[in-house]
Amino acid sequence: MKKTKWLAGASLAAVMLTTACSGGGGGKEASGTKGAGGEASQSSDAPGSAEAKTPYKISMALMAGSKTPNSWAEKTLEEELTKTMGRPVDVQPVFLPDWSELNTKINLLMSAKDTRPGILWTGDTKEYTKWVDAGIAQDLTAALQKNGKEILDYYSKDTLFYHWDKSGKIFRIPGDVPEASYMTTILRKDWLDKLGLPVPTTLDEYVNVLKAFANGDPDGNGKKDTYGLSGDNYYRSLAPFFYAYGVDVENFMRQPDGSIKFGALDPNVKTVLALLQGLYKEGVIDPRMTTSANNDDTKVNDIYASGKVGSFYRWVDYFNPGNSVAMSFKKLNPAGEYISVDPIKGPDGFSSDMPDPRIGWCYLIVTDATDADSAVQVLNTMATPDVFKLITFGREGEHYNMKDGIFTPTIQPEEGSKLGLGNFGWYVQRKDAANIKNTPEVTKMFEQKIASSQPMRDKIVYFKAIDRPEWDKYSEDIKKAREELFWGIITGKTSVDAFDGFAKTYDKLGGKQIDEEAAKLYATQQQEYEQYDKWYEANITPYK
Amino acid sequence: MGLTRGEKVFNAANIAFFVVLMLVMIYPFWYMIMGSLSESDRTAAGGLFLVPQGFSLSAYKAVFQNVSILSGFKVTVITTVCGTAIGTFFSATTAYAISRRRLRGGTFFSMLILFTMLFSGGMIPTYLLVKSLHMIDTYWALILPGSIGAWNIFVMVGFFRNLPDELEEAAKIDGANDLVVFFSVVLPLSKPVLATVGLFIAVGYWNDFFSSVLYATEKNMWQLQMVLKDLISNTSAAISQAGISVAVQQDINPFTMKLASILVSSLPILAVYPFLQKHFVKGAMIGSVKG
Amino acid sequence: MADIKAAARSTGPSPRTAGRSLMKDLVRDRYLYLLLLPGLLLVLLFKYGPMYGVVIAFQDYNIYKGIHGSQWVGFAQFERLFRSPDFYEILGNTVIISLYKLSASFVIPIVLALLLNELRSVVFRRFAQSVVYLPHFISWVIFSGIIITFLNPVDGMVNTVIQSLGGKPIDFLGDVRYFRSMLVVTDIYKEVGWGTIIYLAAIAGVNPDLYEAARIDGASKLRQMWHVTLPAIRPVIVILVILSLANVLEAGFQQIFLLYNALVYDVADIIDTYVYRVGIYQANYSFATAAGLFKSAVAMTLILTVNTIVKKSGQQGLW
Repeated sequence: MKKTKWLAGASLAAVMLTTACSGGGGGKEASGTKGAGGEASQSSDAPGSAEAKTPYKISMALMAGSKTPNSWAEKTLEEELTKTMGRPVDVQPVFLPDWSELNTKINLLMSAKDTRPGILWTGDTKEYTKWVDAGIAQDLTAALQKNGKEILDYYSKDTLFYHWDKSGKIFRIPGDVPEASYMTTILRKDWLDKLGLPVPTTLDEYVNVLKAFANGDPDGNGKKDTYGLSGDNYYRSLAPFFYAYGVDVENFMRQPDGSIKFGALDPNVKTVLALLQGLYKEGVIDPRMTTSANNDDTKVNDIYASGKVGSFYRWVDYFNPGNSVAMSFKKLNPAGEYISVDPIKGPDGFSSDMPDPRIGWCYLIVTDATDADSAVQVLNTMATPDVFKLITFGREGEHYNMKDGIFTPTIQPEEGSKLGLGNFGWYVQRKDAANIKNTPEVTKMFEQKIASSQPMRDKIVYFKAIDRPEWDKYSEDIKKAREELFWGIITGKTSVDAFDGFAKTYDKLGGKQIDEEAAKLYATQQQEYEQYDKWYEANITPYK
Repeated sequence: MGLTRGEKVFNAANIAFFVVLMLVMIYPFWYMIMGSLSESDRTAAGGLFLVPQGFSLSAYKAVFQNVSILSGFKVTVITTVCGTAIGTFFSATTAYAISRRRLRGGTFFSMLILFTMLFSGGMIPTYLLVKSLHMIDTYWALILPGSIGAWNIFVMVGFFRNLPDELEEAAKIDGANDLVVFFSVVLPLSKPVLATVGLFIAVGYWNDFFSSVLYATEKNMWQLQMVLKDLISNTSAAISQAGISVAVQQDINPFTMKLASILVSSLPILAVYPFLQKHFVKGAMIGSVKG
Repeated sequence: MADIKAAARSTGPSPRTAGRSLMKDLVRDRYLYLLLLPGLLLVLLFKYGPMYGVVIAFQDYNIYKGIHGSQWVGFAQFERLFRSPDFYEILGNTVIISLYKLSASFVIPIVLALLLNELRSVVFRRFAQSVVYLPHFISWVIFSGIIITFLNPVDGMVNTVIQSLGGKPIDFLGDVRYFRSMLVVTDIYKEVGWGTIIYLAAIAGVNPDLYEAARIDGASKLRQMWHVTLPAIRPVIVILVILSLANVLEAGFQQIFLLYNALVYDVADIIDTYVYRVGIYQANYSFATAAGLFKSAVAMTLILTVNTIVKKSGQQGLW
């Protein structure tokens, strides 16, 4: 009897109960509104009434994390904004809840004009299309031309393409665009040295190294307690294998004949799965990869720091000496050393790091609750390197020191969050030199990754379209079938030959419809880019 | 009075059973306490079992340094105290009325209430209602919508029905009306169920964070659990956008801080039950009244 | 024992008399209605006020268009749920896991409450009670982390013990043979102490004279539990069992979502996890509401059926 759930729940709102219990962490079951925005009364600032002396009030939705109201960062930002905008500015932060409740809160806030923030931070594109339809999101083309130079300079033409609407308008600005590639093959250098092995470059060498890591007692304790490879159970952790064969099982891939095809159906996948099955059986792959780590980064970080596994495909950021995982590893394994190596070459000599599509994963909307020109001016100010550094890292000499390009904070992380240094994260997050947290060495690694991830970038198809009804309808069932099959094979529960039936399963679960839709979108996307090209030349290039 | 041998054996076995059970049940808390006292960069080694890995109070320091935690405590204490009082009292009055079989429409009211246990209009209409009542960012929004629950009412109905009828009859003969019967006869005899339902309601309010998500736009109206959720939220993101996995990493609060914040937030409510326990024996009164 | 049963199953003082005028009853019971009123108003306002929202299960709901502006799609959301390729597997998993948990969490807390009640030292009993209910306060997010750490096949405590006894490590959470048992065991572990509280309250209300009478009859402890305590708390048990049917299609979303993985989808994927995965990136309120409505309708049917059976058998049901 799930009585206990009721016990706790019965005293909360039945609303909460049914949403939280049946919807899963709330947020999903919801229902009607009597005309959103129907009782909108006053907006925070009426455009036009902006005399030099009236303060410009701008409410900004800020992503969760321990963020601080009325912080130093907020005041500092207000001062900077007042300087550039020539009138007092009042920043009113709206603190969003964390991921599990994020969309719920955003939907509620956006549903009426009196609660709608002037600038909304969000990661959800599905809702975005509804905002455009409802006229809540403003076209920013003119405002960007007028006040957005810094933003236009920072984002590449291709990145902006994904945020451009084919009606010739731009309703959203990327908030954070990751580096071209931010993950890398990581190996234990001290283990290689100890076992007398060279740094592997080919898949065969890599596999041998992993086997030696698992079986050759690299930690010298006489016990077989080490593994070759570990990570979370996203496919990204297996990138050294799949990418050596040039396949990405999560995306559509360009084929030699010009068509496109879902990566999981590629015949090479079978070869890779067979290889992984062998390694799993031999105890080279950490069995925790299949279960324990699936939702929790901290679990994988713990495995990384504990120093019992020889290789990972993980974050470049681990090579910043200030990274907490790196520090933890160093403390637990004073003699240990991780290195980042070039992507592993497959049998055909192909190799690639995991590319990022350079589509912002989160973005900013200027709503009808404020005027676009001023809001863009605010964002543009925040995007200038100096202001970005100031509100992200504090003041040099006061909160951190720079020496030989190494960033050393002089305050504790808790003090930093008290100052509000994390408050404005993902609001035009700069990944260039302004991100002073990266050491020169790490900055160089990121630069190298642009080229090393290019081979896969050329193969993967990134869709611009947000409306993919067939994909939305069928993809979850297909993903479930794929996960069951692939992890089943890797762990030896299912035979490798079961892969041969996957194409059929795919079709049965709606793969045909997905394929047709993808082909159509791929074609229109190329036309759309031409259209965008013209728009960009006319509306953006002259204003950069 | 002496115990039979069988009873002695039973008692000894029972005590032994509970000692073992308690050790098993207390372990997760022990683990959390030890974890929260460990040095954050040493817990990764996986050796945490009985004693902390190293020793550090920095996790607790970090939790208490958070500026919102005090306001969170304040909001949660106020909502819990008021909500429990309102919820327990009105659940009891409603349940008592329904539990009297002579009440016309009793079955109808019961079904009306039961229906809400299963069906709800969902979050958005409720939000709009609360908004139209101008309760956003007030304590009322955090307290009222969740104060009454079908489950609690039915449990109370069950208990009230169990009270001997002679009590009511005797009072009625003395000229008492239903209000007097309820307040001076029924309530005093119902301490166990009032304590139980009160505890359930209190724990519900204490652990609530979702009301803040819905009804609070100001951070100073966030409930404690909401502040903590925010504090320990894993800000690394794996977002799938149209099938593309994107992952972004930010600094993650250490495991130790997670544990410390959970302990800090749950200790006050854990302390409530032991204080309520004395009411669980008062029920014995019924016998004496009857006898 | 007949008198005991009668005492436990008290009937109202003055059964409804046929033919009495409604008005007279209303006047007679005016204070009862007064007591009923505030709670009823809260229910009407906060539960029935927003109830119109269920109609979005029959719509393709868009929050910015509202219920009036959203498109009506009839039963399309339900069809989508029932026609999903794994629907019967998912429904089966939901029912099986939930029935396992229902039966385990029905019996065990009662037994534990009875045993707690037999502890003779008041101090020890109170202490034991307070300790046993502790795990309830650990959220699934944290508890699942502890479970995963302890059960993992590499360095988990449980497997270390198994290995030291000469066994082979078991991947408890990655093996279809163990996964459901792990769900039930961890659920019981977390909630059993909490579940006893209400029974302890019920036991506290048992008339001590009854025990005295039983003792004089020479009934042993076990017989006293069986013939005195259990019958006395039976009305509460019946009500709790009927109410628990409300959750018959809730197998424990949070727990499963945090513990499952691709290797055990066969036995672990339930309605809620499926709805979550389908709905999460699509903000599909209508689909989630339709699934919720389906679950509630099943639960409602069950509750009404069981309540009728209970009443037919001469016992007190929900009303």
